[in-house]
Amino acid sequence: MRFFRCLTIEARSVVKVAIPWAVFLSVFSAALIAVIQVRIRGLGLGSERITVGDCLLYLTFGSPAIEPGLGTVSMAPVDWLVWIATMLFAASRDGIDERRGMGSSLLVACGSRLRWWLVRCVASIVGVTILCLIVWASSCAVGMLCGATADLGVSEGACSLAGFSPDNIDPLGRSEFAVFMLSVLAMLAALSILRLALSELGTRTLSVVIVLAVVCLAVWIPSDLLPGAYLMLSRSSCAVMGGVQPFAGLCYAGIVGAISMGIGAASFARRDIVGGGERS
Amino acid sequence: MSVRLDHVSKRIRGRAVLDDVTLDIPSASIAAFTGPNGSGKTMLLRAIAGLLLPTEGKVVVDGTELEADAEFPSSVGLLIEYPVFLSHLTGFKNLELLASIKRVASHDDIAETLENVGLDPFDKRKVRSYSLGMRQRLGIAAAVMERPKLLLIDEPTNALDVQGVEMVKDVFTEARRSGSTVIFASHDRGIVSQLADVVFELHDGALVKEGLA
Ligand SMILES: Nc1ncnc2c1ncn2[C@@H]1O[C@H](COP(=O)(O)OP(=O)(O)O)[C@@H](O)[C@H]1O
Ligand SMILES: [Mg+2]
Repeated sequence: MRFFRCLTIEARSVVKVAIPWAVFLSVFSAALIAVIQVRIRGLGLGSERITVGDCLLYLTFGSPAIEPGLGTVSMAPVDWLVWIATMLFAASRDGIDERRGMGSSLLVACGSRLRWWLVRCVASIVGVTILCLIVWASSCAVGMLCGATADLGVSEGACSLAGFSPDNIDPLGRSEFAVFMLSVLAMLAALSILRLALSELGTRTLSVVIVLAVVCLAVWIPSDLLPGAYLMLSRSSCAVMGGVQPFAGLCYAGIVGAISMGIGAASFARRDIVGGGERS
Repeated sequence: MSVRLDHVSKRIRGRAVLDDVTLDIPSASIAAFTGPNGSGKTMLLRAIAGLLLPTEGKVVVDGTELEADAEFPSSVGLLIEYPVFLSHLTGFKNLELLASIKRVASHDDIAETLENVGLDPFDKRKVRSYSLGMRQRLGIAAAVMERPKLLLIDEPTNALDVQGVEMVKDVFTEARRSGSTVIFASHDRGIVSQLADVVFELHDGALVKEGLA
């Protein structure tokens, strides 16, 4: 019971911090959709009506894997990075924000360090989920305002722009796409817990740098072991033959989340709560 | 709720902040930690709250030893170091938030406590516009609103005016009368000798003197 009461307090404050970021991301994704829409028209690809699936695709396609030997210089997918980076850090904080006054009173009232840590982790998941849903919902809303149909299927124009070969458009099924979106959400949540654990072990800045670096590695290094691969539609089996499986992404996220939660808990259990933000 | 420290030492980055402290505080008494700045008074309060884990020795509160990842003492009210609150909320809302975890203190209890410390429960101002003295009063209110069996208060009279100091005396003696143990830290010898049943003097983290006030 006490767990849920603490969680209510934590989740509320996470959401409060996340709302301005959700607004920022919604505006960002709306602009992105508009720009890509114009490009599709410009390329003469927009013969059919765009779908809600297209709108979500724009947010998540990332960049196609670089094929070695072809001499392609891959541009960093800036739009994707902005979205992922904001998602990861908007709703995230340290193990305990403030070691004096209210912070330590809340911790003691919560009952134990372990319970507090679990509350922080779950609050992170809640924050990421809410942020994600707001951003997706507003992307879809913007898409529908621009005339998109309420269909999770992805149109041909959007696929071509994303760099998928037309042969691979076919396997992009609706249910598979939905599982993919779910796996993106799960992986984002897991990475936010990884970041929380790293900030518990080191410093907040360090945790931000490490997690973002690990995620970015996937842009240049094609490997199924990099979490970033599961955040890009362009690397998933939804879009390319031999891509990463969304279901594997779900499992991988579960493992990353659980391990991070465990390591963080072990560290936080021995943590001294002393003032000034210093650590001992 | 009795408190016992058994050869408690704490080193932070190689420096001893608590040095072999052994002490016993009986139930329903007022105990004071005194000593110069940096002598370890605040650290000692943290150790009793379970926020600071000793390098050596043990802290026993109400017969239970506090260990890494054990539960914090169940009925404890604390004001350690500074009365820091959520500045975008009113004083009442801050206490309400804190009280929502244990659900021991009702709205009426919160309002009554605020009045007892000299704050207006219906004050619509946010904590960010509170004076330091008002924050201190709010900090004391937060610590006592659930009528905990153990009160840990750091520098209770910080920033308080004459009436404020009287309020602290009333609150502490009332807590003792109802059976709670009050432990406070202060470098102000006046308030220590007036209020405490037993005084522990610290120097460089070590207990140098113990006695009745
Ligand atoms: N966050 C911290 N990290 C490391 N050392 C600290 C920290 N806070 C205080 N100290 C050291 O611990 C010792 C005791 O401090 P403290 O208990 O705050 O003294 P006081 O008696 O004034 O309350 C001091 O030497 C101080 O420098
Ligand atoms: Mg102090």
